[in-house]
Amino acid sequence: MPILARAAVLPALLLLPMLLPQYVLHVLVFILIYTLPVIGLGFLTGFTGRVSLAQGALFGVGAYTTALLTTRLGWSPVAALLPAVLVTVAVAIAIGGAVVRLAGLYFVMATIGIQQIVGITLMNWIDLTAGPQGVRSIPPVALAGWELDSTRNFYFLALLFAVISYVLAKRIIASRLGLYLRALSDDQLAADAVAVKVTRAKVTALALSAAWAGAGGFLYAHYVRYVHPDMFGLEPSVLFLVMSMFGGYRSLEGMIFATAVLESATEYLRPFGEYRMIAYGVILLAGMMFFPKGILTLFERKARAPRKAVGAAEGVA
Amino acid sequence: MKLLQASRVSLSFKGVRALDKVDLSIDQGELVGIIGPNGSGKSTLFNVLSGIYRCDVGTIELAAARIDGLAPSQIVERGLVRTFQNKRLFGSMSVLENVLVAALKAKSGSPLGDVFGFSGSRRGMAEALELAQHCLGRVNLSALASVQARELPYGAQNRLEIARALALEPRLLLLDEPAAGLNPAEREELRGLIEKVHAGGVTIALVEHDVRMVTGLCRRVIALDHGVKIADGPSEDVIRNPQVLEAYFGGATSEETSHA
Repeated sequence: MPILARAAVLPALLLLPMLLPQYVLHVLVFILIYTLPVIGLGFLTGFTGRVSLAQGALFGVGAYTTALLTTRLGWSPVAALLPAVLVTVAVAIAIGGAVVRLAGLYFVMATIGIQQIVGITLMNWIDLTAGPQGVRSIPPVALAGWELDSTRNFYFLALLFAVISYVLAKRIIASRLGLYLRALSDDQLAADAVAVKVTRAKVTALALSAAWAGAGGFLYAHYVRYVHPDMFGLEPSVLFLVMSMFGGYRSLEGMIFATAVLESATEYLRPFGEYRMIAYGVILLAGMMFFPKGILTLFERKARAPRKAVGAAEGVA
Repeated sequence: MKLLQASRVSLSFKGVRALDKVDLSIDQGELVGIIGPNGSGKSTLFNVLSGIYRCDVGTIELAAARIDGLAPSQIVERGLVRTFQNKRLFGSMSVLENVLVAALKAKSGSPLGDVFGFSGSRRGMAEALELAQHCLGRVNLSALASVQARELPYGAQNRLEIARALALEPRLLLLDEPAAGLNPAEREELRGLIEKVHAGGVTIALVEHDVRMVTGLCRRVIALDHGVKIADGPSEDVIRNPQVLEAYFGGATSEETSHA
């Protein structure tokens, strides 16, 4: 992207609320919110090569933490942000720390297990979570007496979160952790042999993905202002995974773009009811078949086909 | 001074003896060749020394400190570094990044420091970058620094593995069949490179199939067969050792005797 176009992105995003109708803005807020768990998942999926189907559940842990702190204990939402992030990270590490060593399909299966554990806990620990009733009347975020209770106002908060999370993620990926994660996803044994602390790097990636999910859940809870266990089942997990993978192999911009495309599609296909999932599935299949490296490759002028990897799959002995 | 001392190292896989009471001692500054036919235990020995496998019996000391039982990354941190027979590069990363990952070992700073630009982290990263570039220069890969590793021609992948190992600043470098798959010109170049690295003060153990290359490079050679050390001494003696000749050239009938 030319520098000029790039510099214009932020002012344009700031002006959008003045120009767009309420409904479009509403969709945009969801896109911004989902950007967080999707980027977070990118740490695990794109950079560590671990496919997780628990991101929706972690998103839910963040949402429930702030929902309960603000409704039950009367905390101000601003004060609940850090706990929401920390609780999500703690849950992820407590149940995910042990399974993050697992490879490939085993890790995927384990994350489905985590998804189930969280879902069942939210639904059945009624004293804490109110179970199937959900948590109502979650207060809006208030900053210096200014309540972000409208879509327009909330848009700016969501934008702020999305921008910060994007910039931070960008810097993390450029840090030595980004190098370690890419190395271990390419060849774990070789990463070990160059003194990369493989397990520590993986757990860190898991913690980061949870932190981003927790912050996203925080936004979600204070925007929708109602949480229910069904909101955080396997469906959002699949959605986030698809957004993260469809978007672009290790490309944050691609992930954000895919989030925008797929979330818009979900919203605008809503009139078709359950049938929209079929259209959704077709879009996905087409994307995976024609843009296996992510949808952003559509815009790359020189799409280079990767040559065969030499001796990539040989054993140790 | 003894750098590596492995004593009575044994390892079995499902009852098959892969290594049988192997003693191995390498002095500081040596360039030792390890030869033996396919399946004689050369790579297994390297896998045990570098911590990928744990030996069933025996002890391994690096600079008089026990390293058996340590994780591979801990062993690397103590200065024992290896390359792999089947090149194990980070294919999706650039040539420079492949070496940079290694060069970051023992450099100051942390990921968090990188993210927020702390001075210790910036310094560590700059030092690592300098070391990585230096190592690429040593193997003549500077011009290809930004190429993706999996796009490299085979011979260059080979040198990249060595550059990555050098970036770990090894005291003892284990090279596992570095010449495999190279053409004669590349072999010659590799020979020169190994000599240069050795002359730079790195102790090297070289597993190699090509006996000529080993005898050309190494004054001392160790021969393995069926997991047993059958010879250890000056290279010209070892290659004339009847047991070694039999291990290499003996038919199926002589297998029992060479095992004994």
